[in-house]
Amino acid sequence: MEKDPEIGKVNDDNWGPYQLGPNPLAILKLSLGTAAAISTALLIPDAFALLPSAPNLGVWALRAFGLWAYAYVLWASGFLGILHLIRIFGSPLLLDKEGIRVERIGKKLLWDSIIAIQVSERKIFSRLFFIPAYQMTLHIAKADGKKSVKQIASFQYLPKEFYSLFYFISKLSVGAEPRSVDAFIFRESYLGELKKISEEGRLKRLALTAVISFGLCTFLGRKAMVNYAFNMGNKEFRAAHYDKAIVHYSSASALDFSFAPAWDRLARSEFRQGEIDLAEEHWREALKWKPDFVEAKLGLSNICIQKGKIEEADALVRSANRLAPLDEAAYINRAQIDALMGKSGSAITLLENFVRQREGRELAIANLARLYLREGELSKAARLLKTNPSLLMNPFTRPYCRMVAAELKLAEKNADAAAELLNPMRLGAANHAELLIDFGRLASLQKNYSLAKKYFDASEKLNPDSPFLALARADMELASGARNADFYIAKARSYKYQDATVLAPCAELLLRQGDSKEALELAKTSLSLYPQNEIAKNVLLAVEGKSK
Amino acid sequence: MRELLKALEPSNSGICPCAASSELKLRHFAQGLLLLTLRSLLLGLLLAYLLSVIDWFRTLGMSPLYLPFSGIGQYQPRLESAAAQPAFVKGFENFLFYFNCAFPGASRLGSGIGVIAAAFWTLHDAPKSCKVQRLSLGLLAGALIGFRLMLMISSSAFTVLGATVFAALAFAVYMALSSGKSEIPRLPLVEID
Repeated sequence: MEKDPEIGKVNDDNWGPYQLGPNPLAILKLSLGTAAAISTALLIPDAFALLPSAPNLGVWALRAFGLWAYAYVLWASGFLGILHLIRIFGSPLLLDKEGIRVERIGKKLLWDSIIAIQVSERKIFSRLFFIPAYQMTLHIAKADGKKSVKQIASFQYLPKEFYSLFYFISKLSVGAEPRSVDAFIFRESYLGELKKISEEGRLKRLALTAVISFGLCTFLGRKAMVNYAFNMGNKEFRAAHYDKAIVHYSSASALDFSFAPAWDRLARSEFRQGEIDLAEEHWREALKWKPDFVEAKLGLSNICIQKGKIEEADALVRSANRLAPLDEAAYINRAQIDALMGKSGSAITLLENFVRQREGRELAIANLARLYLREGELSKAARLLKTNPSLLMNPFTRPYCRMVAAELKLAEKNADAAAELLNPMRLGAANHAELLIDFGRLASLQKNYSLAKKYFDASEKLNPDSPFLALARADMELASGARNADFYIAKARSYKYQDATVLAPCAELLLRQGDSKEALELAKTSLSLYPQNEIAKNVLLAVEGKSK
Repeated sequence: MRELLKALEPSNSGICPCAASSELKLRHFAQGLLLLTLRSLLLGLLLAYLLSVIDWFRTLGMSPLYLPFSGIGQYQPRLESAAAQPAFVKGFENFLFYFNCAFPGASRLGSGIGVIAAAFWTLHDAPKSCKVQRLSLGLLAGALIGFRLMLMISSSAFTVLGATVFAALAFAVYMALSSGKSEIPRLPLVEID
């Protein structure tokens, strides 16, 4: 760096103005230095929290390194961004022959009002952040006799820039040229007062250090507890011990209510335990803290599907599809919702393509089989379930797959096989609208109509608008010889999103009632919507056979 | 890239020559856009890959709790755009789709950090540039920042597009109206004897 020839002329009337803004290189060094210190401090609780899930020391070390690097990148980039924002929109220090302006909206400090300048190294920060950390304190005597201080930290400037700043402030205010960057320069007449102020400043700094240390320990300790509870929850979740996982996730979310993944996993565990209302509440909480949380959106969409809030489920899954177009769960839920919104044909095509490309995806296979069942294609559904025996092995998807397998048996009028599949799920059925319909259909098939009615009533409380409930009720009414079938058929037909899965069973029920003309119309409409619908084809054949 | 950077500093020696030539104005405008595009691509991809690698360490040996991500296949669902949507919004929706496909999982966060960092980096250089370049840099930097930040809150093409346009205009106006490089010289440096 060149020594400026003008510096000897600081008392010249033409001196200045000069400005000193934050230096980009100094800001970069600060963000990297603080990132190293912060990520290392954050690693302590994280490393502790990783213990329950790490199988051995090597994996634990690599995971810990991953966490450290993640925190390093996040802190360095985030802090650098904030410092640059301050740099772009903030104002530099302005010095001229009259004084120095430290803040954009503050008053200019006249050189005469500065009675002392103290620069001291902050050794802890220098060591922690790997940068020379100094603090300059300007002692100011106001016109009314009161004293105040202004502080300028060195971290935004390069060492030479900071020394130059100190040099000019000292020379212009006190008239002394500092020979070191660590010095206390003052007007002699203020010595007594400065001693007192300096002592007060020292005590304040000690108090502040104590507060910061306490806050840091509390923060890190709390973070360790949160992460430990979360990882313990993950361990139990993987082992399908959902009741234990709920306890751990509840602790994690209670300790840090803004920790969205804990809310999501808590809701997921509750969902798998059949606690639908709690799961809904906690998934909404997760989305409150992280609005682009794809998994929480999908989880909540499952509940919305069950409760018949199709439009909300559709909005959630659309959003998830946009945020993560490659997410398979989002794709499967998309197909499910399409089917409920009167587009079962396209849902079947989507799932068929998916199953063809991604073999062994149980949830997709089960959903496809269910759609085949609803279109009356029993042989296709049976073949699909038979060729994928793993469907009943996966602990995550098993209940849903069992339910679909039971629906196939119900469609085949095989009450014993259906009961065998459904009965193990009786405990969890209380909050599952679709499972309750299946239990009702089973009871109806077993001619236990009063029990069937109880199941249907319970399902209606959860999802009153389900067309499949109305169809099941109409079927029971016809089977039991009751007279309310008309009402339920009309209810099914009033469903907002009509397609072959609803219209064809309506046609079949109308035919059973003897209304061939209406049944024929509905069967034709169904076939125009989905030409492979077996239920509609059978209705058509039956009506034609009758007329012959 | 070096030539682009050099071209971005025409106003250091007074008034930019583009003040008198519309062809040069256009060139400076395009140079600003090109520079930021290159930087955002570079940093976006770099940080996306970096975070993916770090995430691999972070989750080493863990079985996924959710269904796994997969590659793009024929089964890929596409969102249906309403027929009444303008072609521009449809185009933007397609862009969002490919952006989200390109950066799943941890790379999504990495690309976001990279893109925003590139925008700030270029805004930091902007005071050295002429007014036209500041305008183009402000426009694109604002668009990138608004786009990526809104994507954290909403996935709707309309909302994200709205935030992108608003931030682009706000940054462009601020950058064009700001005076560029300060006229006040930097404090002279003094060395310790």
